[in-house]
Amino acid sequence: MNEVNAAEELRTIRILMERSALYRRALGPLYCFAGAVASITAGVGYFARLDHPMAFVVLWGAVGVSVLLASFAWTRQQALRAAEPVWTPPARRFALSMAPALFVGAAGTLLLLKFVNQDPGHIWALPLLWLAGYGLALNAAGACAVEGLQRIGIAFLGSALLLGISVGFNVGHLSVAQSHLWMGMTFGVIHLVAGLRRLRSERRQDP
Amino acid sequence: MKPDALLQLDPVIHEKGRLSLMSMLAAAPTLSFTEMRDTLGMTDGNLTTHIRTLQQAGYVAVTKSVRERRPLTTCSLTPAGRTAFEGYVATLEAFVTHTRRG
Repeated sequence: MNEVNAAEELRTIRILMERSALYRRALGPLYCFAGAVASITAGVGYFARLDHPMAFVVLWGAVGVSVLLASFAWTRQQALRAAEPVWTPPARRFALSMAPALFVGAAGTLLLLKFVNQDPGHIWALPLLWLAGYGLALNAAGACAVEGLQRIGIAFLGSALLLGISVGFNVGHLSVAQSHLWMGMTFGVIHLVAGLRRLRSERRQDP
Repeated sequence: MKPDALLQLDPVIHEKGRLSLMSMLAAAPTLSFTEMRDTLGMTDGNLTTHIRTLQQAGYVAVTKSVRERRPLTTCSLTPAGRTAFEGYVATLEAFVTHTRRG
């Protein structure tokens, strides 16, 4: 073995160690749960005519909190079953990389709430902020997680951009009821599609 | 450092496939058979052979269980395996540093 081979071997070791330290909890069932909850909530919000901006925020805030709690319970259960600590270094990196964008989303919601309450015609700003914030969070977390998460983040960012363009160019204008549907089509459908894809890859048999 | 020192590299770890396995296990508490197979692109038979060799050397602990009615094989490094791996990497690093200094 010469110097070049030894250096190459060290490089391979480093790459494999980095790859191995990625966050790799099974996220498929969680995406499906989030997608199902968001789709049902969108239907409830639209058909029950929950047209007040505050009702919109409370309803979707409850969805966010329930998905967050379910995520924690699900990953904790996986860790316990695998006899591993919940807060492994990859899990900590994963959570910390999502935190800033989620914080900005939450703080922005509080700011926009007053504005939207005065003029419900600007309700579109909330889904746009949430989609962009969540997309950024997933995109950041994707850097320290298994493949695919960044693509989902980009899909959310794309849907935020689409909403921004449609409002900015007066192509469409969302009422509160339509905002429920938009949330269902984005949070619901994107999560469901991603969840089903992940479930298929996660359920490959161990020999 | 003499180039001869490289001859003292642990032959169990030195094989490419086993070194890859040890590298992955050094950075994660446990890994499933499927994760290792998919990351390294090995066949089931190849991976099983490497794991058995590492297990016989006392470097890797293998746990077999059933999860949701499916068999689950997980591997982790033993303390002896971690020591051997760290020694292997230290030897390589020392060699590269020494050679670059001229």
